[in-house]
Parts: sequence; structure tokens; C-alpha cells
Amino acid sequence: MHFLLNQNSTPTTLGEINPNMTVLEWLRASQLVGTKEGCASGDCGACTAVVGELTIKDNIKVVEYKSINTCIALAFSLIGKHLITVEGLKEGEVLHPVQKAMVIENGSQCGFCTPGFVMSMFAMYHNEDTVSLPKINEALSGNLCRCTGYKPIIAAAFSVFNEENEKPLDYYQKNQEKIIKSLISINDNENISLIFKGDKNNLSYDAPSNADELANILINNDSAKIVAAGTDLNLEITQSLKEFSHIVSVNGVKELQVINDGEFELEIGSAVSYQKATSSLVKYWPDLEAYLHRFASLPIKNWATIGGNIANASPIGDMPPVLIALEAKLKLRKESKVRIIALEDFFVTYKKTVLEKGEFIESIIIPKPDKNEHLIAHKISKRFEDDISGVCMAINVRLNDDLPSSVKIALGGMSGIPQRALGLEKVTLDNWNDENIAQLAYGAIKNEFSPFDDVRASSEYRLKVSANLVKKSILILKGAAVENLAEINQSNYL
Amino acid sequence: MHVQGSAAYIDDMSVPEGTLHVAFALSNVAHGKINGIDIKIAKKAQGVHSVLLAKDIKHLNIGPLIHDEPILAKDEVVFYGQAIAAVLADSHENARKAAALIEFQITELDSIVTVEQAMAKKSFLGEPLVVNTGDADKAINKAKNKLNGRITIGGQEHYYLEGQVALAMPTEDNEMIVHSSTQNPTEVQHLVAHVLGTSHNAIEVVTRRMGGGFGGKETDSSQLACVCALFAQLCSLPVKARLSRRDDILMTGKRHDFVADYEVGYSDDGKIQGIKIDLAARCGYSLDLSKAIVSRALFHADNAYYIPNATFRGFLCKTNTASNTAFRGFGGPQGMLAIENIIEEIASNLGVDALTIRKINFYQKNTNNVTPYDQVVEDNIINELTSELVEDSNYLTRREKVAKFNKQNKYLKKGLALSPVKFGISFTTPLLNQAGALVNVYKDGSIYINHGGTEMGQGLFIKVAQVVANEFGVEIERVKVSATSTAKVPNTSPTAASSGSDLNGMAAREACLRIKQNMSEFALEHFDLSIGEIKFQDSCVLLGKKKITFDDFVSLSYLNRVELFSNGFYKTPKIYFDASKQKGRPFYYYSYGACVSEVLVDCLTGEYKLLAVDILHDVGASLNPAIDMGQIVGGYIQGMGWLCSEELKWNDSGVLLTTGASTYKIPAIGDTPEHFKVKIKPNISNHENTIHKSKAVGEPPLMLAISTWLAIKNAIYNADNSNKTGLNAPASFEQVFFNLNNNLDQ
Repeated sequence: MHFLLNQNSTPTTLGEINPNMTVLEWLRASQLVGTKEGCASGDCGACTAVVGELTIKDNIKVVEYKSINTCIALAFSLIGKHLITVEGLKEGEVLHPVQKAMVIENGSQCGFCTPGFVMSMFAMYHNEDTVSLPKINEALSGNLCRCTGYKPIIAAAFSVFNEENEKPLDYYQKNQEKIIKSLISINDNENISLIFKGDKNNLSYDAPSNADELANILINNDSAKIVAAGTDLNLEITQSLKEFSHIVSVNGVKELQVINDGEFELEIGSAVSYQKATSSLVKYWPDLEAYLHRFASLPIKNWATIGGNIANASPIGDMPPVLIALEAKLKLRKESKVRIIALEDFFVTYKKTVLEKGEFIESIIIPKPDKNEHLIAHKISKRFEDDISGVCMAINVRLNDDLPSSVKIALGGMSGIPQRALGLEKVTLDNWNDENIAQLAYGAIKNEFSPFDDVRASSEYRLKVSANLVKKSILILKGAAVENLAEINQSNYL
Repeated sequence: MHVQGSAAYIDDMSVPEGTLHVAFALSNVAHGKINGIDIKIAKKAQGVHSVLLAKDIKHLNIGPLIHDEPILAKDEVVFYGQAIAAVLADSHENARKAAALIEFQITELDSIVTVEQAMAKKSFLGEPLVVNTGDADKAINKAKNKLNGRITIGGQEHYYLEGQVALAMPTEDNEMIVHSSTQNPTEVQHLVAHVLGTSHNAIEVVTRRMGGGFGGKETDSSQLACVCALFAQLCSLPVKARLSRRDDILMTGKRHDFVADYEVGYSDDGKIQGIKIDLAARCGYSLDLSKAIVSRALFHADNAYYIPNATFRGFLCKTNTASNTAFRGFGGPQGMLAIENIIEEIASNLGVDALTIRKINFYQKNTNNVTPYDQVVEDNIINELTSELVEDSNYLTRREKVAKFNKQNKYLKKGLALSPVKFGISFTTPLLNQAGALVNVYKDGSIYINHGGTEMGQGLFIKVAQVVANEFGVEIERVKVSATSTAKVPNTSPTAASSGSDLNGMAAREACLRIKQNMSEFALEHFDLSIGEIKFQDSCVLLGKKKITFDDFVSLSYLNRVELFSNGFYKTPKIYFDASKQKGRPFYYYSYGACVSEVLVDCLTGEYKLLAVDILHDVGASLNPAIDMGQIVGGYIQGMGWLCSEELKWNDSGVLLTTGASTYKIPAIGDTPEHFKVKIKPNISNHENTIHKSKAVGEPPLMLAISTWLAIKNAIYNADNSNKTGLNAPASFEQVFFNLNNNLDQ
């Protein structure tokens, strides 16, 4: 029930709270009102705070600080962690270097988004030794500002790192040992099981520490709802005003946190965050680096899990098309029974999967590429940063002497589920060097898909741009000048 | 304070125990007859105190000019998202949950959603407005070259980070203090008094700061404040309302979207001889400020160009959508985009660089200097400002580099554009151009100001404090600006039309001068001096050969019974306007600027990336260059959002689909270009006698972003010269895609 809050030396208790309560609601009810609500959906970053977790780095215990959208994080997820809010940055009367930089560079106008920017910059201060524009864009990708046009904020971020001296240690860096000790004292690796007496019925919260216990809870509780980071699911609480009667957090389940880099396969635990999985994925599929930058904002990627992005079965999740094209498999577990299925068989219809009652995803298994295999991933959205895709395409090609021997293509945003495009694969394979590949691809896609019109894209645009993306992928593999604009270095083009 | 999270917005204020919270139940159709409202379940929901319906409200209608907006819908709903019922509960969450339990029986009626539908059905909120000069028809007929076309210009959601919020606290004797996040405390005061059936002096409205306004809190704050006040009166308890983002986007108005139909005649060298533009605006269900907004659109359909024969007509389309309202630029941007699009098309038709066409049509200093609404452009600097930017930005070299790049690349194409801004400063409703201020000098030499302007992040409070500190010759730390309060300065105008510093700065200065006058009169006699021997500087006062600290002089003045506080008043000179003819001098002066944008378009996907932006902008003699720079950069990016990624979408039944940050995309940090050079035009001062010869800066920079949209249009044209682009705004990737030739259907 305890967590560390800002510079307080004694742990803070959450008190008797509804398990559906968010961190932001808890903060504002506790008079810590520097953290703001801008959207209550994890899109604007006005609510950004930083959460520190105990972790092992080079065999030493350290605290890892990551930015978080408090508006869609559950208060109970703080148990055993260190929460830092904008109120906790000053050391005595002295502003934190990131606060000072924002003042000097005029990084604030109306001020409402400012605490969120300050906190994202504070996380960057802890996690980066050097600065660059791409790093700043990544660190602040989840913060919207409507006043400044970002230019002075970018200048502030640069100036924090560009001081002649080394970055001075802040309060948390100076007191790391003390903080680690306190965190150890409130982390006992036990299962957490809480019951809150609601007005109508009791609400439960479970955070099991191991997979056996998780399997056990799920099989015995029909109403149990699995929540990992909740970056998608918790919107049902904040936007649709739902109340879950039994929340089961999988964040503490150690088996689900493991990345296993095997000889032939990469196995990623379902509760591994995107941020943590990135380096393993990029090692084998370098094209994913830019794609993952666009996957979501940093505060989302810090917590959102690979398994969550699959289990929520959204037709516009960005990772499933990639994983399908890579022929990934899922390890599913129910009680003690484990089965392995191909990811492309996991999705049934819109938001429906083959998961049975009491069953959960334990890991994702991705076959490693051979040297002839090339993965290219595209995302079409209305804005490059922090947006939901209209169309995602992943194309995985095995090339022998410039000709494909196999092509696998999966698409998101084109149907009720993330889906493999078998007809399109064949057309692409057969017409690799045809000048009219886009027209041919268009014909194949029209046969296989009839996407919706919605706010993100029209059906016609989805179909046509997908066809051109096939052409573009081939051009990229042939070395033509058709870079994805989201990835370019602007100054190279001036 | 901002960086520490200690600046309190209304939702951050600690409220008395027992404060209740409001949430709304909204219409789920765009147009319908209300047959029944079932509040039984909601009333029994957890924490609910009461439910308010239209029938419970005696003075139901409010509005800024005419009272045509019911606080809650009564017999008929006229837009999707219109408030029908308000729930009062013990917490924000409980109020929202209960509001969701209210059920309506509504018979859906036919709705008019789009401008085209309104034009076809002649659904208007008034007569068309016409600005006319010369004989456009004749000039077009006679012209050697002609073109015509249509452009649709999208609206824009304000997306202030702090949503609408109000807190009403009953005091005694039926009086009330209302904290409102508003640009217009006086209007909130008057409307709250109206719905409560009381006099203005019973209501005090206080606005410390807003988390952004941009025009969205000029009139749209009143509804929330009125509902809070009604509930507070009913239950004699403090009542707070803050809207969820979705409700905020649904309930409040946006920037007007426009359809512009145009016809133009021009000479072989691209000189415009005659032009006709019909600007039809989606105003929504009520009048709000639409008339002034459409009027301003007409006043900017010339932008910086002299057009001898012009007919600009503005149509106020009444639609079943939320009532569109003020948004930074106030119609000006839409008018300006219409003419800039035309210039670009003339250039494409003639096969010359658009800059040539712009220069040949610019207003000149002594001739060709009368606008279609008869105002003489007396302060024109657009020619020299543009030349300076052409030089600074290497425009001509870049033009060649762009052409070379486009020759070498098949799938990636570049576009480049330079566009000017000439923006008229003053409220076009002359009576609003007045302001008051109150300045107190305390015995210890500290100074306190209150004025009619509100702070929404634009730095007004700092600018006015600077003016006051400067007048007394003291350091700015000595000056405090209080929350804006209707109890201190009455009958104020909204903080809008970029006029905040011009008006309130002058009013505050006037108050300072009066106090200095009092002090000087005393000193003349006391120290036996003559006028000219008294100077306020360096926190001291020079009294002939004697020099004493400001503090001591204040103290001495007090001891000698000198009045150390004063009001100040200002009204803008020279302006007049005949609304029936749409002629006169609506603007005291103009602000100028120009911007060069370069973009790179991916012809396979329609995606584009902004590569470089160069801006040169005129703020007269800047009061505060750092603040002005912030306004220019921020205004530009906000304009870029309007023209690029921000797309409002309704379905055919009038349901707004883009109701949150996940579907409505304002610019994010990566959209700020790496090459982003912004310069304030140096060594220049306002032609007119404004506060310290400065110029307004709030709105004009937004329109610099038109160059970005033009650069995209230019890139599409460069991809295929035979392609007469029908690019509309916003230039979403999808729209760009369909404007490029992608022959997939063959």
C-alpha cells in the first residue's frame, strides 16, 4: 500500500481508495495540484509525472525514472514505487536545472502544460547524458503545448545539457542510496490483494507476483480484468466512466517481464514495456527504430506492454502487423496448460480473440531473421508524433540476388483486426519488378480488404496508400531515394 | 511559478468544504424536438444534489450581442452536443456519472450541417455583408486573363490546455463572486446578473489567469458561469464546473470554416484588375460574434494587395452545429487564405514565381493605397519588409535549388512559398476600443495595478507592469498586477483583437500620469521647483538638484496628503466605421509580417515535412521582445496546425467525430521545424501614437503560416505542372495524396 512521494523520507500510503482511481485523481485530491488534467486520455501530457522503479543494472540495484501519464495510470500501480511530481523538484528554494532552463528560455506562456514539460524534461535529465534534437523530440513527444510553438522549450532542453560544467546532481541523484533503501523496505515481492468496500459492491485489486498465482486468480474469478499499464484499457474508466469490479495487475508477475534472446527466437514476456523491448527488437530489425519512435509518446511507451497491445485486439494497434509479418507466435497459458499459436490466428473479429476464460498471454516468440530477410514498416497517420495510425503496413521480404523468394505482408487499420494480406503477398512476389506494381497491388488489396471511413482516414485513402506503400517498400529495397519523411534529417534536404 | 506548478488555475483553488460540482447531459442528435427528459435515475444516483432543466430557469437565454442561446435546450435541440440538463453532485466524477444516466426522448428533425446545405436552403443569421469598390464585374470581363474556383477552409478547435471552468461562490445579500476562466469578465458578470435577475453590482467576476484562451474564452465561458451561478443561488453553496475535454469540444464553438468562391481578372503580368469573392461561413446555430468575424474576413480578403475593383460578399450560414466563435485572427485568416490561394493560382497559370505576382500587386505608399473598405493604408511597409526577408532567407537561391531538386527526384518533391501578412488592429466594433485601469501606489513605494485585460499566457500582465514601472522609473519587481476583477475596473472590453497591450497599457499609463501629476504638483510647491525639474528614474526622483528615493518621495507625498492612486482611461483615436456600408477606418493601424516556408512532399503517400521557416515580423517598437517572439513563434505554429494537421470532422447527420486529442491533432513537438528563423523587424516604430510606439502581436503571426500551406500547394504543382490543384485547407496528408496524380484506378 506504500510508495515514496517526492522528497518525503517516510513512505506515503494510498489510503482506502477505489482501485479504479487514477494517480492524477489521487494527486489532485491530495492537494498536489501542480499536475494538471488536459485530456484524461494520455494524449496531451499536462498530467506527466515521473515514476521511479527499483531495477538491477550491471548487477547493482538502481532506481530507473520514467515519465508517466498520471491521468490513465491507476493509483495502485504506484505501490512500491517512487512518484515524483512537479512539486518535488526544487531543492529547498533552488529550482531544478530543468525548471531554471524553462524560465530562462521563456518556455512557458499560459503555463498549463508547463509542469508536464518540466517533468518529461526531468526524466530526460535522469536518463540521458547528452542531448540531440531527436532525443528531445522523443523525450517530449507526449507533451502538447498550444502557446509556445515548442521552439523555446526545445531551446530549454538543449540548454540544460549544454552547460559548460557537468550536469549537476539533483536531489534524487544525491540521495539515491537513501531512496533505494526506502524502496527496498516497501517492496517485499509478495502478492498484493486488496478489497475496497464500494457503495454497491466490493471492488478488488490483485497484483500477483508470479504466473502461477496469476493463473489461479484468473481461473477463479469470472469478473477479473487483466490490466498491464492500462494505457488503453483505463480510458474506459476516464472516458467511458466505467468501473471495473476486479482489476488484476500483471506488472508484478516476474515471468512476464523476461526477454529471452535465444539462438533462433526472441521471446518477449507479455508485460515487457515497449521502451524496454526496443533495443532487442531494433538489434534484429533496424527498421523498427523509426517505427517505434512513432508507435506512441514516450510516457506511453515507458509503460505500455507488448502483450497489452496484442490482447486489446485493436484493429489499429501498431505492433501486431509487424509481428504477424515476422510470423510471431504467442505462448498462451491457462491454469498450468500452455499452448502456442501463430499470432495471425489469435485475432478472430473486431476486438475478439481466441483467448479463453482464464487464459492469458505469457510471451511473444519471434523467429530471428536470416541475413536475406528485410523488414520494412510503415505508419500512415495525421501527425508524425504521438498519433494513432490510419494504416500500418509491415512487409517482410527474403531477397536472393535482388529478387524476392518470399514476401509476407500484414496490415493494420484495414479491417476489424490486424490482418495478413495473402493475395497482396502473391501479387508483390510475382510482380516485383513490374512498373505498374502499385496498380497491381491496389487491385489485390481491394479484393482482400474493405476498410472503413473514419476520422483517421477514408476507405479510399487507406486502400490506395497501402498500394503505394508496397511500391515504396520495393523502391526502398532497391535503394531509391524515397525515405520515410518522418525519419529524415531536415537539414540534409536544405 | 509556472515551472513549479504553483500557479493556481481555477480548478486548483482550494474550495470551501461542501462545494458542489456540475456536469452536463448533452444532445445526441444535431436537430430534434424534445419530447421528454427522464431524470429520475440520475436524481437517485450517488452524490447527486439536484438536476437543472431549461424549464427551471427564468432568464434562459444569453449571448454576447443578442440573447439567442439558451443555457439549456428547452423544446428543441439545435446541435449535437448541446446541453439539455445540468447535474449537481458532490464530486466531479459523480456529477458526470449521473449526467450519463439522464435519458431523452427526442424526435430527430432534418438538419443543416454544411455551408453548402445552408447556402442551398438560404439558412442565414442575417443579411450578407458586402465590401465593394469599383466595378468588379466589368473589370473581370475586360481582363485578358480570368480564373475562377472554390476553396474550402476548415475550422479549428481552440484546444486551450485548460478547459472551460467556473466557480461561483455566494456571499451575502444575494451577492456572488464568480471565478471564471474567461477573456471577458465583464460579459460573464453581465450575463450572470441577467440569469439571476439581479443587477451588475451584485456580481463580481474574477479572472486570475487562463490556461490558454485564443478566442475560445471570449464568449463561450458564460454558459458555464451562468449554470454555476444558478445552482449556487438555488442551494446557497459554492458550485464549480469544469468540462471534460470531450464535452468542451462538443459544447463550445470553434474557428469558422468557410467556403470561398472566387472569380478574378488579371493582366498578362499578373496584376489583379477585378476580383469577386464570396465567403460563406459556418456560423452554427446562433449569432455569437459571427457578424464581426465575417466582416473581418472581408477586410482581409485584400491582404497586402491593392485591388481597384473588388466585391467581397460574406454569408452568415446558420447550421445545426455548435455556435462558432472567436479564434485568433477572427475571420482574418480565412479571408487572407482565399486571396493568397488566388495569387498562387495566377502565378501557376502564368508560369511565373508567385513572389513576382505578389510584389506587382502590393499596396504602395502614396498611390494604390486605398483598401476596398476605403481605409487609406498610411503605414505601409510590406514592400521593404518583403525585400528584407527575400534577402535574409536566400529566397531566390533556394527557389533555384528547389527546382533542381525536383528535377532530380521523382517521388519526393519540394515546394517553396513566401507570403505576406497585413493585419488590421482594433476591434471593428468601435465602442469596444476603450479600456480602464486602476493604479495604487502604497506608502512603502510598492505599486499595484488592476486593468480590464486578462492574462491567458500572452504576457499582457508583464507588459502592462513594464509600462507602469517605466512611467514611475522603478524596477518591475515593485509592481504587482492583480487578478482581473469587475469590481475594480468596470465595463471592460474582452481581451481580444490583439488589443490587450494597446488598450490596457495606455489606460495604465494614463493612471500613472495622473498620480505623477499629483505628486509633481505637491513637489513643485513643497520644493519650490518649476516643471521639468522633476524626473522619475532609477527608482529615484530628481527634484531639481536634489535626488531622493522613490520610496521616500512616496512616503513624503503621503504625509502631505497627496492622492496616490488613480484610474486611467483610454479610447483609440481616429477610428470610425459605417457598418451599413462596410466602409470607414475600422483599424487604427496595420501590423505586417512575411514568412518563407519550404516543404518536402512524399508523392507516394501524401505525407510532407516542413523543412524550413523564415519569418520577419513587425511589432513596431517592441515593448518586450521576448514576449513578442513567443507570440510570433506560437502564433505561427498554431496557424500551421490550422492549415495542416487539425481537421474537424462531422458525419452527415451533424455528429462531431473529432472530440479529443486522439482524433484531433494539434501540432506536436516534432512538427516544429529545425530551421526556424524568426526575426522581429528592427529599428522601426508604430506610425501611430500607441503605447511606446509598439504594435499588437497576438493575432497577426498566425497568418504567417499561410506560406506553409502555399508551399505544399506549390510542391503539388511542382510534382505535375499540368495539375491544377484543388488543395483545400487543412492540407491533411490524405488531401495532399488525392491532389497528387496517383493513377491507381487505371
